[in-house]
Amino acid sequence: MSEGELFSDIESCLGDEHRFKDKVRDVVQDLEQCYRALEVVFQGMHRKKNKTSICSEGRIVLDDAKNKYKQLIDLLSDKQYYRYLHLWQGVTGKLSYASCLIVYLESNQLATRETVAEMLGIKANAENGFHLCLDDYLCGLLFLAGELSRWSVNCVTIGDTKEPLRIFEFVGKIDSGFRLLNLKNDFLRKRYDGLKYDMKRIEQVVYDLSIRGINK
Amino acid sequence: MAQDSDLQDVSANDVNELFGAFRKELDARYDLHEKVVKISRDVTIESKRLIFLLHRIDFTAEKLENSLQQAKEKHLFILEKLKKVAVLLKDVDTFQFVRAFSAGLQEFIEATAFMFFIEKCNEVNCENICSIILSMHQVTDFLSFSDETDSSKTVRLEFPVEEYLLGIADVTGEMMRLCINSSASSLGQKDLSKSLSFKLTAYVQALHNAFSIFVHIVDVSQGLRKHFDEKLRTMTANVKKCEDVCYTLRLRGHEMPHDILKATLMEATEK
Repeated sequence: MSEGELFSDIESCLGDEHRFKDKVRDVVQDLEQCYRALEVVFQGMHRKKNKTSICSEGRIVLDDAKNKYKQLIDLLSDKQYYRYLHLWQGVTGKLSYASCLIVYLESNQLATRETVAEMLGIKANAENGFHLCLDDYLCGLLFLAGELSRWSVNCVTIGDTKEPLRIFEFVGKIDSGFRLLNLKNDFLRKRYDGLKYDMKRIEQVVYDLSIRGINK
Repeated sequence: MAQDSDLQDVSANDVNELFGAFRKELDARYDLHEKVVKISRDVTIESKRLIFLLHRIDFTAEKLENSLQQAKEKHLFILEKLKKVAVLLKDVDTFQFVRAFSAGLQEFIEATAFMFFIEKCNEVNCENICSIILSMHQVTDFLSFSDETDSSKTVRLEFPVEEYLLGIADVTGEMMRLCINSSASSLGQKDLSKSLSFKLTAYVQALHNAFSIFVHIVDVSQGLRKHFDEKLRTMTANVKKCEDVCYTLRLRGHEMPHDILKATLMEATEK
């Protein structure tokens, strides 16, 4: 056997993989584009834009993302999910956050993993194929807490003094939920460590409001 | 806070329940990960021991067969451990846990490749040295185990091709050591090109050639890319050391007694 023969299969295998990853990356890039569009939509809430219009605009972009996920699902065969997970994990966390935010704005509810998965057009459970990985969902919740803490400040600025109280309740629930988890030293843990600062910021806003007797 | 009644739907209990389920899921995954890491650590240690055992083998002695037998037993022992990993991960996608067993697997590939060489180096010459390089296919075969509960099934420990490449790259370091250590005995050979040192060098060169191409086409994350680049640098250094040994053997082999020559070679390669 010559050198060429021995390694030619590896060479072609590496080549195939490279091409495949490029295809996946193209779709992931589209997803990133969706997220950027969502970010622009969400900026409106800090400037007293109508919640309903933010949500409906957001949902339109999410539907677009749904199509992109469908492309991704079609690209991947059964056993390839974990092999390439790292390629779309980042953007999925962000889109999960976007879904949670929309649900919160619409109903003040905590979006469940099932709801988020449904909004993105993917499965909630690992058994059913391409799914919303738990880490991404949890990461999305932590992003949400960060965004809401910023919003609580801006709510006061634009004259809505009720919303910060709701945010306080809501993020408090997320916080108490996360306390139940045994996190490892990974990126989720790092994100979680930031949650206390978000909480503190919201507490400060609520304190400032109550000490002045606003909302009485 | 009268207006907050609409929040009641997500009560504290619901949150507890929701996150309780998440905890279970995370704990199960982390536990499995931890179990695999533990076995993988054993695999690493045992593989290193196998490599040392192989280095101790005296090629001239009649006990060669005996020592090889010992090495093979050790190899089987390591395979048993890897089988445990495969069984643990039987029902999940092994790619999810690659990072947990990657270190052990790479060390195992390195040890296996080294063993293959020592076992078969007498059967080949420098021209067809590639036939004794451990192939990806052979590693996959090693890592297919029969299922104990159902013998018709096989349990496979699947892994990405990068793991194979990184494992096989490491073997050049061991080859280089053996090349230097065996240089004195190589001198005793009538035909230098059939000596162990020359074969080892041919092997390392072949691997280096292949690897220097792979490094450029392999599609990996930033962190792994650095790792690959570093491996290639080490490999290049190893190739040069081996080549220096061959050079010295050829050029000065006739001039000095063997033990002095060996000392000179050691010195030259330590630089």
